[in-house]
Amino acid sequence: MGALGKPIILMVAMYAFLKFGLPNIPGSAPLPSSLIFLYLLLTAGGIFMFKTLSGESKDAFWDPIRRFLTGENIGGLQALRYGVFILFPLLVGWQTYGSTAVSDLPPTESRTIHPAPPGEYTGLSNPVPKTPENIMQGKGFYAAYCSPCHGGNFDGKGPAARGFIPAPANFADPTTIAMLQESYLFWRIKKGGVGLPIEGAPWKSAMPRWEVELPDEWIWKIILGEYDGAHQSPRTWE
Amino acid sequence: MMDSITQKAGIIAAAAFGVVLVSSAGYSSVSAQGLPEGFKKGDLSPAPSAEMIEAGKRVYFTKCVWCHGVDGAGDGPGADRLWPRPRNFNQGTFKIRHTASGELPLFDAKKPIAGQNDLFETVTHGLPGSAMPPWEGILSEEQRLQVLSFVTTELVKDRKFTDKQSETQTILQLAELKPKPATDESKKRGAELIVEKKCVECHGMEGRGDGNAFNLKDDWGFSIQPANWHKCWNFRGSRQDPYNVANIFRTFSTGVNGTPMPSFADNTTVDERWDIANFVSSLCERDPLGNPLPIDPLTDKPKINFVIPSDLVEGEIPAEIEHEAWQKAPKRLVAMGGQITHKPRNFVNRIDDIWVRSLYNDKYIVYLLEWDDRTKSVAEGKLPWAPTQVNIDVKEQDPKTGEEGSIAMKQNNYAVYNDAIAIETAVKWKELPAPIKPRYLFGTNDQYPMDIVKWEADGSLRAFKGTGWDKDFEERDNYEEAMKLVKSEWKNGRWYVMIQRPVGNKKDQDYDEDTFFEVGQYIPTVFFAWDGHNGDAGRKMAVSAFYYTFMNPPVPQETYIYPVVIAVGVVLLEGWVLTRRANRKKGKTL
Ligand code: HEC
Ligand code: HEC
Ligand code: HEC
Repeated sequence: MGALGKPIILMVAMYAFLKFGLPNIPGSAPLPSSLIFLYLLLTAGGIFMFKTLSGESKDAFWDPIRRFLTGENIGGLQALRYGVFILFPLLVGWQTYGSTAVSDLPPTESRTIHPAPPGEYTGLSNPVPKTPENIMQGKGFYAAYCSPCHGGNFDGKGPAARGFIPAPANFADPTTIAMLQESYLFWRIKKGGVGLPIEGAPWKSAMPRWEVELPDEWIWKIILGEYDGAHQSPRTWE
Repeated sequence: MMDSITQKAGIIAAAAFGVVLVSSAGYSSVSAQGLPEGFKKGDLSPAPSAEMIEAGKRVYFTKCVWCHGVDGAGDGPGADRLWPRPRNFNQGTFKIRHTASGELPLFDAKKPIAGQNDLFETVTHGLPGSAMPPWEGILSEEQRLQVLSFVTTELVKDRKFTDKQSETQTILQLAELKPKPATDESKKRGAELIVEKKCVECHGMEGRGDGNAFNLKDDWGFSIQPANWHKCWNFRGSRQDPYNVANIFRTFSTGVNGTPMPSFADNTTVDERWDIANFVSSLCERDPLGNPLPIDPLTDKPKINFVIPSDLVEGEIPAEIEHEAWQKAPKRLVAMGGQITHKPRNFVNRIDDIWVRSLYNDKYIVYLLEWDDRTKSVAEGKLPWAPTQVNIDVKEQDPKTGEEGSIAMKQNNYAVYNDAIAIETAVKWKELPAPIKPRYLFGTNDQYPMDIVKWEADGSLRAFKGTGWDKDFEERDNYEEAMKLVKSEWKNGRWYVMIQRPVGNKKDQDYDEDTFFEVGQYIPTVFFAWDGHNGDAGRKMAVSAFYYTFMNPPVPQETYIYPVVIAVGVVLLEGWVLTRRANRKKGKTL
């Protein structure tokens, strides 16, 4: 069964990943069964093409399958063979049921997390010097205005965060402020969710528009405090 | 400014200390006949080393100072918007302990062992239901011990963890007490005991925390409310393991220091305490099979499913919750957050979730909404604004710096408006060009409006059109006559509201104003809730994210037929291949 072992393991691993692994990666949702089925078909197709590329590998691939299915010289595997004959139709039937029955998963929607900022907010540099006092002050403002959502730990787990989708950004995560420039943050903090362009799905974001109550200088200080508290540094263009 | 705060803290500290003294005096009678059942005398822990304290100071000033303040007085810059407020450490009053009422908690800088180190466990797991985060994964075990070494020696000012003269440790031997199985009998006895021991006077007849909800204060003078037993994930002492009865057993065996929640060690036996704990734990929300709700590790609260299924019923939609159709209808938990995106902001939303069920027939869809609210609030007299007005001048919970102006101080002191709930659905949700959707807060503009149905505790049910987060609502012509308030009842700390509205159709409906509820489609739906005793009105409210109402189509025949047909097909195919194979073989040998 040597030539078959790897493809079977591969398929099982793929299924396990799609079904159980993927939903646990932060930010992704469980896949509908029809999609899993499609991905598995693609995987199977790929393996099949790869294995049947040359004459020998083709025989090496088909031979054990043929022998298994016809029951030639497979000894103890006979029972397994009947098992496969019985289980296969059931599996296909179950899969069909899974893809026609109504699912209770919400439709997937995509959102551009970091849309391009308006021109006037590109390339601004932080006018507030990065001194310990300014950082401390920024963290103080952060604690007062931002921590209810973004969390005292800068991890997006504030006490008010639970109601919102998308969730308040986790600044400790390398895919948020670590890959952004200070200028970008300044724009996002000033304009909030309502200031996002259409591809940023502005109708969903709960991020407040802080320009209505925080002076620019405070916002720049908060940015200093935010990077310091989350142990990140802003992206720069060298 | 700093001076006046320290002074004030001093006065409060003295007052609090007095309370502690008085309350521990009250309990001393027990030690005369020995210790309360389940407790043993223990020794004070040794003082932490100077290096530990020094290292802890650094941790404190990077991580904790923002809430707990420079002097540990619970007055950091983040404190004023939080309720409960961050702890003032100065008095040495700690809530979650294995030690008897009034005593200091267990803390040993060398023993990070569960069950033997209360403060370490608190910092590890946080205090769910408050802003105090779990620090596991952010601070190492060593750092957690260090920061607590600093807190217990430098910031606790009125007591000393090592002072043999004034401090004792009477420790609940939780690990040695065998839990009692949660049989029906045990829970029944627990149900009787919570009445006999007067838990219900504070926690309410159904345990929703609505008993003595408005007159309680903690030792620092801030308003406090009895816990809602149906939301065990908000128990401060739940240790991120909310369905574990041992945590409840510990809480009321030791009491919650600094709060009106007393210790019941003296007047209950261990056996009675397990019965009570089993009963209290059984009240916590569960799924229809009686299993604990799965807890989301990101929030330490139940996991959320964003689809609200609505089942079809033939004929009239029943008005009684006990009706079989409602009992069978899937129940979904909708998480609510404070509306802090726009002013007036609501930092402390007291409605933090809603249970939603739905049924529909050929004409109507009915939502059954249930949510816990400790008080039934109906505004006295006429409100000074029109029902359509959103931009109204309600007191924002916008604290002035310092304890006096803080939310925790003002809580329970707002003008009382109406409790209310609203269901918001997108109009023309199906025809929106791909990336465009109306904002979840009251819609985007005239082109992409929202259909809003709002019930208020004065008995009104109104329909509005929302055209922008900052715009007042618009009336919808005659739509109200088409709706019906099937039920609205407040009982023992919970609202039950059933709202019926037409599903509509494209033909005879004003499709530009009303949502058309189409079977088998995901209809974007948002919920809003107002707690009248929290001063909620207008935009000061609790909001949900986008959910989807999904009206389950009558199960199509194909769902059952296709799989069978396909499976039979595969069997035939197998048979064909095998017989062909066998025939060929036969042909060969012949
Ligand atoms: C009502 C809750 C809330 C509050 C309060 C809040 N935010 Fe946000 N914030 C969000 C949400 C939700 C998002 C994610 C959606 C988005 O990108 O708009 C976000 C996103 C952000 C982002 C973008 C991160 C990225 O990777 O694109 C920044 C920067 C930010 N917030 C900074 C702040 C600052 C600074 C404050 C305090 C002055 C603050 N926020 C207060 C909810 C909040
Ligand atoms: C986001 C704000 C916040 C931060 C940051 C924070 N805390 Fe807290 N903490 C709270 C609140 C709020 C309470 C009070 C909860 C209550 O009374 O129910 C609290 C209570 C406590 C208590 C009392 C526990 C008890 O049993 O009564 C301790 C100890 C504590 N915090 C330690 C810390 C330490 C150590 C840090 C830093 C590593 C820290 N906290 C950081 C908000 C915070
Ligand atoms: C005098 C009023 C009062 C009585 C009587 C009372 N409680 Fe409480 N209880 C409270 C208050 C107030 C709180 C909230 C404490 C807090 O928020 O820190 C509370 C909290 C709790 C909690 C949650 C603790 C946590 O971990 O956050 C439990 C469980 C509880 N009580 C059980 C009981 C039981 C069981 C009884 C009767 C045997 C009882 N209580 C009697 C006032 C009371």
